[in-house]
Amino acid sequence: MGFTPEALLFAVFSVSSVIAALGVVVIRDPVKAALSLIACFFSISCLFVLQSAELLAVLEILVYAGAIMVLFVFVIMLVENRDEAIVNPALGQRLGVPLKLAAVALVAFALLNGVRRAGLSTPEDLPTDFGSVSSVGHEFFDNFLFHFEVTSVLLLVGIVGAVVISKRRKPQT
Amino acid sequence: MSISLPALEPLLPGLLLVGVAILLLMYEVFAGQADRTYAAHLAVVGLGLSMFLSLKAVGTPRALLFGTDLANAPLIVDDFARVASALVAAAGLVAALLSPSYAKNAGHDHGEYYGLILFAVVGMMIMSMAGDLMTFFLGLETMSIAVYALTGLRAHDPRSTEAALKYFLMGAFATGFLLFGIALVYGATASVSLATLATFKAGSPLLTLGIALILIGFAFKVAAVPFHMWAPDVYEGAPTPVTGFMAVGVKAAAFIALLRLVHSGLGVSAQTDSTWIPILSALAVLTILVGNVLALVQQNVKRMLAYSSVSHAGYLLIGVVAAARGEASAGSAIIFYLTSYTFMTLGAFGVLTFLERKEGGPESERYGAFAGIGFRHPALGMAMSLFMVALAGMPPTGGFFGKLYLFTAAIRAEETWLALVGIAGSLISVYYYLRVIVAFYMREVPEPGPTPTATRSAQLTLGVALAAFFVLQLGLFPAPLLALTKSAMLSLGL
Amino acid sequence: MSPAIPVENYLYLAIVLFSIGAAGVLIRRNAIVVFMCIELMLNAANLVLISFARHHADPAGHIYVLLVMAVAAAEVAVGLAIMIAMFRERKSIHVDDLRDMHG
Repeated sequence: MGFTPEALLFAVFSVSSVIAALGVVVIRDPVKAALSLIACFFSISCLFVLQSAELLAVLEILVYAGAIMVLFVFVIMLVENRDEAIVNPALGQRLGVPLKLAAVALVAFALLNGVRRAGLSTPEDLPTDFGSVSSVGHEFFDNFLFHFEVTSVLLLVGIVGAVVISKRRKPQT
Repeated sequence: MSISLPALEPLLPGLLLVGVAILLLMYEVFAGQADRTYAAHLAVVGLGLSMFLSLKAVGTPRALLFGTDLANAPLIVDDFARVASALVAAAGLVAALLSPSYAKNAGHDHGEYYGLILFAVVGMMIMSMAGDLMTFFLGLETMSIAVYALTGLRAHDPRSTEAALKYFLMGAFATGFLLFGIALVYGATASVSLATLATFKAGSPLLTLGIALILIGFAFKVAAVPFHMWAPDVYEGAPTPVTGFMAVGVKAAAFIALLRLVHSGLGVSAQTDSTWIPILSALAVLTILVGNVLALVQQNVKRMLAYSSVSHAGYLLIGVVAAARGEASAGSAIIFYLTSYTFMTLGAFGVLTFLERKEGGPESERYGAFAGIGFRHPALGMAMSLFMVALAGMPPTGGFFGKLYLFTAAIRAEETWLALVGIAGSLISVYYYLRVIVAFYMREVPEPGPTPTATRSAQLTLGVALAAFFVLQLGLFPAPLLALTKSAMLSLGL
Repeated sequence: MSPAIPVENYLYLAIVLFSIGAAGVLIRRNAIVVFMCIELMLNAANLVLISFARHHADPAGHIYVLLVMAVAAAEVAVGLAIMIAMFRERKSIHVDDLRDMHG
């Protein structure tokens, strides 16, 4: 693999996404953790661009880094601003942490090893408009009409659920 | 591609429910202070009609929607999907019947409550019809999000919100695994269609890992050990009718979708790849043993039923192992078991709903709180005894035949030892199920005696009576349902 | 145009991000941060989907990511509503404080 600009960009954004992701886990302050997650989403969206997924890259920023994370930050501001110790200081909880990390490492190792052994073929050639608004839009409304409809029901359920949870009445006496 | 209206006819049961659910949401806008019992009636009528439409279509040819062949159709409406849709609609129907008086007492008697139940049923139907993993995923999320919200509705009990938060975090975590698994399967097969998945032989590590992650997601959803930690807290905290609905509906939908997966991709790879059977078997054995042993030590009846529901997931996993071995009768045994389990569990939670006290709280759910109920309310005592006997798997109830068919299928698939573990687990379970009956008929009634009739209502009585009727019906005349489940499995190509 | 980066590299990266997210879910105590770690896991899955869409030159992969975004949005709405309800009752959203029920 030559040292192409693409490789350089991949290196930069993969390293920055991993650092930002680690930030989410190790930063105490939830607001800063949220900012770190936004940085991570930004890096991921740049990686989308590298793979010719321009529309999805824009949506990643708009939906995740924009809408969803704003909601997160808003709720963090609303509920709490005390610092937390990342790990529960109780001894039993602290002893559990290495065990949990080991379980995650096991899964990660199995996955990494699986990908290494997968022997993926060379990638297909891309059509020139791959990932553009029109190609994604055509694909969506030609072949995924049903998914589109279900998604509308899903979002309705989400809205109704959120409303119902927050407007609970006290029981009648 | 154009969609003409008649092409949607196979979807009518689901579309009807979406329509009724939206009607219920609108009703809430104009209802003001009116009594919400009508909302319950509307939901029950909608679910009943949807169930009837599903059953009526059984026997008609398979319909592929929004696609031309198995490899690209997101929805496959075959007899399997129709029977499954009728089952989840029945679960929703009984749950809706159990709800009105309880909801009034607990402060969530609004149209949205029934609307969410209907939406959850729609999600379950989509799961049962899914021809590809992405459709399945959307159905699962529709169901899950509705149930997360339903769990947290009890206004006067902080345990409810806590249960909702736990269920939500665990469910979303499981979604992460499921989605990563689907992504890996997509990478390995360049498609998420189950039919395409079935053409791939084992050997691709990506495919194996993808299916493994999907199975972890499933295990969370059906609360299989070691992914069961959330179940008791969530079952305890949720509104009692919702607990019943969650215990049967979510489990039924997950196992039905798993059955479709087994009969496409996983089944093929299980017969060529030696890793699946041992993993599934270990999961089944652990789930049965841990579920039963932990159910033994519970003091709260709702928590006991939660752990017992874990163990029932274990019995069903035995059926999945048999199905993965290619045993044809395993699938119909699973559907039969799910049906009888639906009625006996909803019935048991219905009786608990009856006995819910106005102030609620964990004290009213202990074994001791039920002392003497069997004498003062003989009908309730009889009904609870029937459901407990059925859950323990004794004749003359549907629970007996459910276990009989399931374990026979396991023996036919040369998994005799799994059947033996299942029988051992059932024997343990007899103890804690009988303990409920003993509590109901205990002589010493504490003074002052409990007055557990705050939530009595005609709908609740009807719901419990319906459940009791079907538990007995399936125990005395299992043949019609068995024939139905067989035709369902035939439509999967078995 | 031939890609300079093999798809495996993207997959390794996605697995690392997924594992970081999973570890965060297991060890963090603040429910909101736990939920953010879950979002990280979903994004790792999205990265896998996009990489394979590129690999197979299959636009369907992009649609899947779009659907996942919609699902995530609906989940966030309900999840954050539950957390606010929790905070109203407990003045805390720490997972360790979920101790009302015991078996």
